[in-house]
Amino acid sequence: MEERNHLVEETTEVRSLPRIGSKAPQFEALTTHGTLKLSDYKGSWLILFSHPADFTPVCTTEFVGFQKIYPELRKMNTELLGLSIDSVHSHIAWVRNIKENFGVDIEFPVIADLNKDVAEKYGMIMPEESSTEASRAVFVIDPDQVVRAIIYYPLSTGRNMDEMIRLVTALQATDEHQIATPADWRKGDKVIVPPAATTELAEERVNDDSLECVDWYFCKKEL
Amino acid sequence: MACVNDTQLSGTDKKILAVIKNKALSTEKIAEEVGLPLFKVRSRLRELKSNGYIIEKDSLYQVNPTVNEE
Repeated sequence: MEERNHLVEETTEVRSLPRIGSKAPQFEALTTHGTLKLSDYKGSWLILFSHPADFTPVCTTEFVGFQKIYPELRKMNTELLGLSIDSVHSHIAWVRNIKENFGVDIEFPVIADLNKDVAEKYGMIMPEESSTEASRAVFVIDPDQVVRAIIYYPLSTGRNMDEMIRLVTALQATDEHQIATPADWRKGDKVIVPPAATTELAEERVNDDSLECVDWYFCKKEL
Repeated sequence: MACVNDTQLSGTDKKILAVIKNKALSTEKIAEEVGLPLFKVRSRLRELKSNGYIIEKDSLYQVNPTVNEE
């Protein structure tokens, strides 16, 4: 008799998580600045970031750090939007506590994602690490509301604020000049010219005095 | 959820209402005049419109003439 595999039917909701290049999932959320929709940010770059919980030490250092880079980000047409699975009243109390204890006024809004709606849409929860807290996720969303970069850090490690600035600067330079940026690139450094697509262009590339070429596929230039 | 909802107008709301009291303006122009980021103005306009304080016509916003905001 033929052996049969008995499959247990399960109903599982499979959500497609955002990927680089995909449209950012829309949401409407309660925040410390009232109800905000993702579409409110159309036309601006947005750093949407999650943190595990209010009134925790690593998150506090991160909030102070994010606020310190916020004025520079604003000059780059970039907004900040925080998120954790806490209530808006907890956020308000924490933000006020940060001002009182660290002298830093948190000016960007923070989503109170108690029902985990936004956190689940963006895959911010790592169930193996914690099912009740969001990880340290960062989504860089461009003015057309396309996800352009994703960073994940574990609960135990605070993020690097210089990298936030560097990343957005690099993405904006790429959009403006159609170039790529090398490892550890910073504003003012030479940028990577996209590799030549044909042998003719490759030959022209290595003979172009305006470029600094190591080989046909590896050329840099000043912006 | 809070036991009661706070529907009081904020300072930001009052600033927005002041600039569109006698003229209809676009979101961008309101943001420029009150010196607020666009996302915040969009959010506040949505809320003010939903609470009947302002009206929108052709993407221009102005204080609802039937509402006395004093």
